[in-house]
Amino acid sequence: MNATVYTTIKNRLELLLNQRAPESTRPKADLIHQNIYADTLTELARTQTGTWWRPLNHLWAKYESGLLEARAGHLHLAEQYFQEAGEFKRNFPEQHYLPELAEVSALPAVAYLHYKQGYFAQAENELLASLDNDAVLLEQGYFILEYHRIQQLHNLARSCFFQKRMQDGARLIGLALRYMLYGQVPPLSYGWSEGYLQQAPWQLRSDMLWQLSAETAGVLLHYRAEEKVLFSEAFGHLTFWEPHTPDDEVLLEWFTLKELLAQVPSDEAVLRAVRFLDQQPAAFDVYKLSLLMSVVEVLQQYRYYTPEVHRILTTLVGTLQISPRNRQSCQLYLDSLIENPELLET
Amino acid sequence: MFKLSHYLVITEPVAAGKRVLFATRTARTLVITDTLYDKLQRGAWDEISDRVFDKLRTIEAIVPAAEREVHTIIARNKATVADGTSLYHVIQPTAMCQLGCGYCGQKHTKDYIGTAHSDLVLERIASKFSAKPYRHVEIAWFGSEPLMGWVQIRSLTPRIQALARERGCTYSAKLVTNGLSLKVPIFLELVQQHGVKSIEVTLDGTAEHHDARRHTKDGLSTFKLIFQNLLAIYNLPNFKELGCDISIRCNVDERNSESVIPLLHLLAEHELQDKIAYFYVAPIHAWGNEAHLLSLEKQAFGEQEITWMIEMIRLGFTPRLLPSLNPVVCMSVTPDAEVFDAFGNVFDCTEVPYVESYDNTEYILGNVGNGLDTISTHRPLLSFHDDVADGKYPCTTCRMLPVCGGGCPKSWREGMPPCPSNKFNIESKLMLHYALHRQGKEEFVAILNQTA
Repeated sequence: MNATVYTTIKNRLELLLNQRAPESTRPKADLIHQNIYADTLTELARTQTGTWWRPLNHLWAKYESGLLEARAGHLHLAEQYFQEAGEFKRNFPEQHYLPELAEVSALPAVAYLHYKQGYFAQAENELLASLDNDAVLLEQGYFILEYHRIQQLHNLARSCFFQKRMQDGARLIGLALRYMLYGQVPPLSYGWSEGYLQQAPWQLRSDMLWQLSAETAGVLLHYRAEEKVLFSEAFGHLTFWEPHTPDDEVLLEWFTLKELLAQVPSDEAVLRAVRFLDQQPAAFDVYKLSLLMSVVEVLQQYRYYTPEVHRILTTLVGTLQISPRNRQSCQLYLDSLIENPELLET
Repeated sequence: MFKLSHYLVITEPVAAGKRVLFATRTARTLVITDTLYDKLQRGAWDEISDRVFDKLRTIEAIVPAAEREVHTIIARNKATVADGTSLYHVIQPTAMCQLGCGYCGQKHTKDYIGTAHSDLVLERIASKFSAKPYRHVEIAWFGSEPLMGWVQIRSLTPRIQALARERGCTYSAKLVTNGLSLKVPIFLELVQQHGVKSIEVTLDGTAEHHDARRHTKDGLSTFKLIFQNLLAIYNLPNFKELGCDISIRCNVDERNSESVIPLLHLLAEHELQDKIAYFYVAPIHAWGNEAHLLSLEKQAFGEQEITWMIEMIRLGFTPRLLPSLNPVVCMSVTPDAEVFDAFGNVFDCTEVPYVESYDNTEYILGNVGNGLDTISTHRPLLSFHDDVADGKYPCTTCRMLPVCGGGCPKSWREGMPPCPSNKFNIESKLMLHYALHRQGKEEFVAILNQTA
């Protein structure tokens, strides 16, 4: 990188300060939160369980209530709801796959409570059991549960990340992404089939890709030293697939840029990364932050991480729609580069 | 698999073919048709559409047939207590009060909490942090008259605030006062420096009735002074921005019940409708004495309360018509909350300090001056939830239990049912609630005309 390229990058970054994130010409699709998953499961269960639909629905609602309480930190109340659900579940007969349908909701909810209580091994066993339980139901036509299983891989990864088992977590994210993008079957549980994924709109897969990647990109921001290794586990070699949605196209570009910047980057790669910051809407701000950190590393390598760049980037990070934790962590990192110039040498 | 919950209040028809259903397990209301009412009575679940069934199930009007509901409610209440992350204590910094209210059961003396006892109270509060990861510390300054212990409040607050900060907790306080010393500068200091977020002041009617009951120990009137204090505070230009709620409590018995409406009119004349956080009328209760014997019969009180509420609505107040869930009925059922009086005595109930009839009873858990390890771990009222579950009190079968919480545990032990007015007038409140909401504006006008 020469001084001219540096000046171009600096100027383009500075320009970003004066403009708002581009308004998306389309609203960010989000089938996960539009309940397509739950609605599809509900419809399938309603048709297959006959008069047991209402009790099953009640049971799922109980586990959902317990899960909400656990998320709010009310762990005793969550336990109480799960106990009420457990008592109700005892009356379920061994027909219509009711016990397995009950576990669809029960296992991840109880796993979350155990995770919050710090019983990580127990939580992870329940998540693994959930993968097996879903496999039984998939054979019965509950195709949508393949996405549920991907969510459980994500939950397993969250548990690992929380325990600082970073490589394990990153590997699990990689398994989920490679399954969704390449159909590579995860070596956990059984019965995986991309055919199940294909029965739902691609947008659901795209939303799940976005969700897993965004959250993981955010987690990796806090592990600057190990980021390349962890990135490789989670996101490595994810550049050979065909995008199906506009969101996919952005994601593919991000995967590509992160890989390019991890190698000996060309000037063009850095400029392309800056364009990503310029062109993508706020829904991708955590991805932008992740790219920005990679750009910083490149600038460091060429000793262009100057106080002027520091000022621009610090301000830029402040404008992104990201979690306070991610913002603070990155700003601290950027500050450390200026306060400890020796880091520039590393 | 399902049954109609026991914890339901369903009104008589409020409009053509419509009733209001109040599911006390969730404190949620639903307007139902007579047809649906009939299906519910018959348990004809198959005749109810999935959508309506789901709604009824969600508000727990319909529950699992095998469920022992009272046990579920008590278990949830206990879980809520266990999940609490706020460390709550009541401090009564003085045994002194300027007033000589006839119904008060406390013995007032010129005693104030001293430095040695204050240190021990702080040590006691600090010791609680090892039990649980608290997120908030709350102190209630309570009587006698806490503002008579202003010096002690000023001295203790920064130390408790520092303690909370050290433990990563936020801090807030509340104050229950007769209002006589609640001057603007004191109010501002309470709010801006001492973290006070809510204040409750008592007015027992207009001057005529209030002064006949809440006079000074020398028999001097107090209403004018208190009311002036309140007006000065409520009319501060930045009152709302200060973020401190001031509510008014009106204690009534048969001698002053007719003064409630004139008081409401007086408050309205001064345009305080949207400044008073909460106005409520409370029947006089026994305070280690016989004060409750003059109290209005519960049924009669319930009926009068509806009249007062209608008047409040007419005047532009927004009274709380329907109760919320009340899983934690009072501090007595939380194992970590305590009351400290000016002598260093420790209690688990605010109604006990300075009341002679409770001297040498098990309600006094100990005294910080005798060593913190001598404070009894036995809290006589802590078993209240289990007692209700075991059928010791009528609460076990009362449909209002989830929104009432059972009322004062000590009163039950003393054989005085502390049932709230809601038990006696909930149907009327539901009808008012319906009338005030979108579906029932015309009915509300009709109700107002009936009572005019």
